[in-house]
Amino acid sequence: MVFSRILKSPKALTGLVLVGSMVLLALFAPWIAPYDPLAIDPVASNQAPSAEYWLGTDFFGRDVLSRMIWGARPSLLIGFASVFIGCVIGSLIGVTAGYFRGWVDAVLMRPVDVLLSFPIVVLALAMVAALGPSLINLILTISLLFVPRFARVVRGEAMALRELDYVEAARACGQRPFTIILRHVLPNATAQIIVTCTVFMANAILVEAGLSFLGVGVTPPEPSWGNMLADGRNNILGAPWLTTFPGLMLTLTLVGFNLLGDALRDILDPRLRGLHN
Amino acid sequence: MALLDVRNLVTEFTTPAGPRRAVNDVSFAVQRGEILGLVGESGSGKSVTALSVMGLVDNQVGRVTGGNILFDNTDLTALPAAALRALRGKRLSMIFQEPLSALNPCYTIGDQISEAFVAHGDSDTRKNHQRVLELLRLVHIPDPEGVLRRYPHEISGGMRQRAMIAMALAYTPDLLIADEPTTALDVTIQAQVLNLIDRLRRELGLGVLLITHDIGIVAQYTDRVAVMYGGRIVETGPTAQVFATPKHPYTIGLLGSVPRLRHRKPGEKRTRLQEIPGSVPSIAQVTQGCRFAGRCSHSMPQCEQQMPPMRERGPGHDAACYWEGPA
Repeated sequence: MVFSRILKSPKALTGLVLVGSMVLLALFAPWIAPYDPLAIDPVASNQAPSAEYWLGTDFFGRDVLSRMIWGARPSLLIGFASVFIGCVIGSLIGVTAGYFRGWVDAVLMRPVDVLLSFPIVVLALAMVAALGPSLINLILTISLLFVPRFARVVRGEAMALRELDYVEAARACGQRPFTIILRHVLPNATAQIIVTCTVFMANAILVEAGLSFLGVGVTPPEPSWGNMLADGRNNILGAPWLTTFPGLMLTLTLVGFNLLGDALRDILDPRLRGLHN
Repeated sequence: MALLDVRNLVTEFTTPAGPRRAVNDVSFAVQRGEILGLVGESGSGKSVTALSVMGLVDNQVGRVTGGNILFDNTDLTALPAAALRALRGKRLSMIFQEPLSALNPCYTIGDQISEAFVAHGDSDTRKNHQRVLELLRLVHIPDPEGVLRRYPHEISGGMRQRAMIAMALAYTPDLLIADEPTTALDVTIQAQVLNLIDRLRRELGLGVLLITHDIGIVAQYTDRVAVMYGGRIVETGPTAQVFATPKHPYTIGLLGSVPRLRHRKPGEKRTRLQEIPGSVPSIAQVTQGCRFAGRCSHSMPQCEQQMPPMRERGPGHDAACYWEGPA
């Protein structure tokens, strides 16, 4: 039902196509990319887009198109993994705090508030600097950024759901609090959680790109959109293709996730049903 | 010995102005096999009384601060949370006003009813399936096999309320609390559901606490009645007697505000329904005396000073009023 509504909504469809093609690019990078993204060719340095190199080459003569396709991998992997971890931990914290309220809420949410008070990039920089840049550390850092954000959203949802009659009916049946949370509160918060995940994916990818751009994310020579942008920014006038295309990829991915999230919210929120599409 | 014996129950709500009593010194008893009607306007404390008995008052909103709730000689107010939870759904059950919102839209009727079993440690899926079928038959749901697989929105309101009742009956409780079970239903369905409750009370020997604002339902289905006003029980007694000779001005007003079906003789003027002037005082208002005094046509100076105590007016028939009643 949800799927057929996605197909009917141009916004959702655009988002889905954008996100889907990025995922396909990342998955099939070894077969799609025309060149080895790490192969250096000093002869073909800083070449403009041509029939041979569709999107040109960088200073080391590496094919921009191939690097861009491979660069989708760390972005999406880090995005998915950190949103997944952040979502699981954050949702559990949020749903527990929102369901029990009182002192449980206070104990769980104060650390969350502390984490939320840091600017995203500053906290991420500090953590990666402390842990050292590696894929796992990047994922952990970005997950930690999203735990409090998920906790907030899900707590709000749980506070609304706990007041519902069927939650009270479940209590009247003698069900245990954690059974009620897992069977009655969380399933009814899934729509909200899915939407939040989609929107946070865009944020996570942006944070990864930002960290890579600042040199603490994906380490060169491994390509990522962020470090490609960083590499190309010194020669932005002489070789604009170095920054234009990775930047475009990043933008398209973010637009895709945001469109998808926006459309999913309209589709999954019964109150908005019939207002859109 | 009464099945449920509530003594001097006080439930307080936390308000910005401090704790306020939503249920104030309420005492009543329910015998096995008996239906006690708890009747009153919205905001009179009926539902809070029910939730207090079930131990379901949201601790963010308020809590039981006084009195005893003796259920089969066990004081529920002194029971640890886990022990109370073990009673809920097994010996104490409750059905709610709005059967659609009291059923989780995510699960089929069958799954939700078997949850009552799972909650008490019976997780044998095949056995539960059989028990759910029996329950659905017990509450006269046609095509139980089919309804089992339906989601709440796929069946009618009456069916949903039957499913709720089936869920409440999972373990054949001793006490069934029905909080306005038919308010959300059509009149014809109302009668079916109430007859069902009445039949189950007789067949299973349930004690039933029937909460309603519908005087007609009280008159027809209850053995005894307790009239609540402003968090207190103002009059209680055998239903027939209370309705024949009401002693409290509020009960009289309540009975006078019920429309009656009858033919007007040709030329007879239409008579207006008697209304009780004013409205229920807010819980935030603290009063020393009778909470009804401001709306009462028989109020005396002492009504404002001190809450009138319960006085016996007939066998088992008490009213909390200084007024001696209609001559």
